[in-house]
Amino acid sequence: MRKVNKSIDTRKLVLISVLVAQGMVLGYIEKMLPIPFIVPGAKLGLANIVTLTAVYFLNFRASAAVVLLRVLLTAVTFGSISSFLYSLSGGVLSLMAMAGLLKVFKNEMSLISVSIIGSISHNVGQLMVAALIIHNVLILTYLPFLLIVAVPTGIFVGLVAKALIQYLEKTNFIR
Amino acid sequence: MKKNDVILIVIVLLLGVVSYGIINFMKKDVGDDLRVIIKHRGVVVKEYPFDDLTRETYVLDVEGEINVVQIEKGLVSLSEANCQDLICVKTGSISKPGEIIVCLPHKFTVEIVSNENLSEIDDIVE
Repeated sequence: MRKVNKSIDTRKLVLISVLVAQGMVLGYIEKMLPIPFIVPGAKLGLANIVTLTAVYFLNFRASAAVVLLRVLLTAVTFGSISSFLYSLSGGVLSLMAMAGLLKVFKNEMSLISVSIIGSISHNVGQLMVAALIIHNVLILTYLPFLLIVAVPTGIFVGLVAKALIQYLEKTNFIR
Repeated sequence: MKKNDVILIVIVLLLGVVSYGIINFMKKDVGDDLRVIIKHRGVVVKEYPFDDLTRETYVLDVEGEINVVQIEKGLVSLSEANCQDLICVKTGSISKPGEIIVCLPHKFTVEIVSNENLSEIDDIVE
């Protein structure tokens, strides 16, 4: 992980802002897609592409900024309170899972594995909020389905993030 | 994809299948004295005693958010709803105690409980 040393670094600032903007747009696109899932709480999680990229290039504080800013800005522009709670818990949980994994198993785990775990935690976070919002713990019986759904979505997100990361490394934007 | 990825994927899929099996095993196949409980935001809005002969249609309309519950031939399903994702309708029908249909956008649930574990479930919810 290449960390930027100076506390105020324009490149880092730009990267954070671009990632936040990308995350917002991806979230918006995902909302417009017809949802093929039949399980409540399951999502494609396109915004996880951005979270994974942020975790890969930036330190934890900066990636947390990317996730929190995206969730907050999405909520005030085109969200409701419940959608804010869903994306907050999903986003924060997958951020912590992916950042932790990349830190500990940097060499053992590929981006795809990290992304699958990220998808699982994203879905779990959403389901926990759902259980709170509808006041019903029975909804947690959907967890097995969410585990299985997280595999294809996680692979997809991981592949896209890998392509994005490789491209960003080639452009030499991040030093 | 590396070898580790494949191992992880297999573990996750196995975990999903096994936990699904366990949950399904815990649902009692035959329970006596079943009830269908319809809730909105966690508050019970309607209750029906439920067996193979129950035939009911219940329409919940909260500020234009509509869900139609259909109970017939020992099956409970949502025949209609105007939420955005229609996951509740696509869930299909449920028939066993412990099963649930959820409409997250409308904060609406339909569940089947047997009267024996009713008090237990209430404890968990509270």
